[in-house]
Amino acid sequence: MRLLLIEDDPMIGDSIAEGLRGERYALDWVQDSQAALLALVTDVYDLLLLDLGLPGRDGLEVLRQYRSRGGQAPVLIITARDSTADRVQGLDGGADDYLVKPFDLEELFARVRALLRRGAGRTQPDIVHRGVTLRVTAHEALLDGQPLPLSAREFALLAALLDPPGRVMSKALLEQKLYGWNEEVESNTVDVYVHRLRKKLGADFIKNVRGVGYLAPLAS
Amino acid sequence: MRTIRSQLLLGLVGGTLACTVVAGGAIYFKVLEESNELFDYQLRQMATTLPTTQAASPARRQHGDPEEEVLIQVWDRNGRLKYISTTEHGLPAAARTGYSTLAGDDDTWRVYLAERDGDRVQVAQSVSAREELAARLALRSLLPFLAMLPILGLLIYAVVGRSLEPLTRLAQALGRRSPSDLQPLAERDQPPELRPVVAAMDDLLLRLDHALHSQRAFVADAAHELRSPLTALQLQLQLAERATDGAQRTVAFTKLHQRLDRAIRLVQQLLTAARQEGGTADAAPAPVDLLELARACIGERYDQASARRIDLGIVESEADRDGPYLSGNADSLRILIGNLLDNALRYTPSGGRVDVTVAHTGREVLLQVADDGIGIPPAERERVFDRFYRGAGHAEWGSGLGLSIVRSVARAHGATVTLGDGPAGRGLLVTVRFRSPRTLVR
Repeated sequence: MRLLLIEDDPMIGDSIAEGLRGERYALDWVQDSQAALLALVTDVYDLLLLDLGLPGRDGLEVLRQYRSRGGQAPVLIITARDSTADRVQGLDGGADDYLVKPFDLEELFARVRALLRRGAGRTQPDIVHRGVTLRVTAHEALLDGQPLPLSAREFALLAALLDPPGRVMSKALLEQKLYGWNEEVESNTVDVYVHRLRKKLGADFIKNVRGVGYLAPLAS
Repeated sequence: MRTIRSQLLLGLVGGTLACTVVAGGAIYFKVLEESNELFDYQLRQMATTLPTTQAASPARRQHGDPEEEVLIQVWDRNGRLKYISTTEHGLPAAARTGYSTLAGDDDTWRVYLAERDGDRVQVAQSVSAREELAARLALRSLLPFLAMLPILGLLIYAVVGRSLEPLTRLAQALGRRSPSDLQPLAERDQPPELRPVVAAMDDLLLRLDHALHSQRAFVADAAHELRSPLTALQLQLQLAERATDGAQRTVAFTKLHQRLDRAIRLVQQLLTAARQEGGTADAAPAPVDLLELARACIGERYDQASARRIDLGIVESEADRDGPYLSGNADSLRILIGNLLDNALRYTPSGGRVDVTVAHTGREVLLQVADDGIGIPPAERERVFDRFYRGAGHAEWGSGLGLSIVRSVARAHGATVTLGDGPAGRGLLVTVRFRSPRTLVR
């Protein structure tokens, strides 16, 4: 899962980024609206965390532009403005949820999980597919009810393929979902992780579409 | 102080009474004078025309009124009393003919003595009777007026009450207001005499309203601004709690301290801003050596500057080595210089340079702080003075109050603050220009 944090306050941004990276999300952090719009050109993000009190152009303007370009990812607004009018304006402007400063780190994580779940069309907190259960909250995986040891990257790759399953995802897109800007991407890394997952889950759990990418088929 | 109502009532009723008394006295004396003339004439007429040949007859009252009673006496040439109009004892003859005043046993008499064919005829009238008559006449003329006095009093009372009603209404209108209701009074509905008062009050209400509004906005802004450092603090605290090993915890606590410092600094700046806006003009201005103050401020920041290898110092102008004196508040000016230095240090990269200049040109005193940091784009140079405005394009966190505080201190000293490009075309040059004769000592 790759998130974009748009927050001008260096200290708040630093803490949020550290917290979310600790939750094993790939996270990019920009500090102004221009950088945000630039980052959003690629549209690889699964969630946007947007501070409304940005200098220069207002955060709402970023949101409006993102939505008008057809950006689909859920947007969580983080702001110090807590009047009802501000909330309504933010939600009507295309945001999906609202978090008022100061807030609890746990609440932020919970809202991020809920938004990601809804973004993937799930109503259950866990991702379940063909005997595999991914507990997103606890970062635990189960195979037929038994604990399945997965590394953080393996977990992230599997979550990307299964949420929702049945989509063909390019290697480049999968790579982007795994790594933030500042992280070194090893070569053939997606192939390596797919190989490891197949060993644990069976060869037909993840299929290769030659020249296109990988998918987790809906049925065998 | 006596109420306007009681002053008016006392003045009007007392004045009316005093006038009545004076008028009564005047009428009395006028009547007395006129009746004296009349009676004197009457006395003479009687004395010169009364028949003296008839035998002495028993006295009888000419009229029923004792005050009109006259005493007539006739003496023959031998001085024998020929006739007296009363049975009581008479008066001695006057010493000379014509009018004179004689003292009797229990009264004073006005007499006229005439000599006729060797006889002396004297007609006398009691003075007290005359006075009594005059007093009665005077009282009679005043009587209708005296009867009107209570009505006049009531009328005065009613008119005074009615005239003072707008004042009462105004007091009630003000008394009914809540502390937050600072709407102007309806000046138009007031009598012309009250309009200046109401206009002055409206003006005060307006200024109060503005002050209250800006105070409220300040409090709201301040509460809003406090959220950010508190959020940073809370998030970092939770991260520190989640730290699993010692190294992580050390880093987390270092960051926690930074965030705490930031929250503390914001609170300090808020306090400073509130104090400066609240009017430091209360403190009596004293002579301040601006150069000495700048030296002290630089000294306080030497460690901070040298840790980042920033060359911080004073450029002393040739014109004035002793430093100009200003008349002002040293604490406020220290805050002004301190904020400018803090800004310069914050936005100047390591190895940079910050110069402070204090110059005196005779008509004005200049304080300049120049740095070679990131500067402020011309488009933002006015807005940075707004409270809580922070420029974009840098990662430094400021309270957003520094320049706002600088400007309010400068204003209190009649000085202007302008922002320009730094000396080498980059960075920022802040110029504080003291030119008010009020603050320039020499």
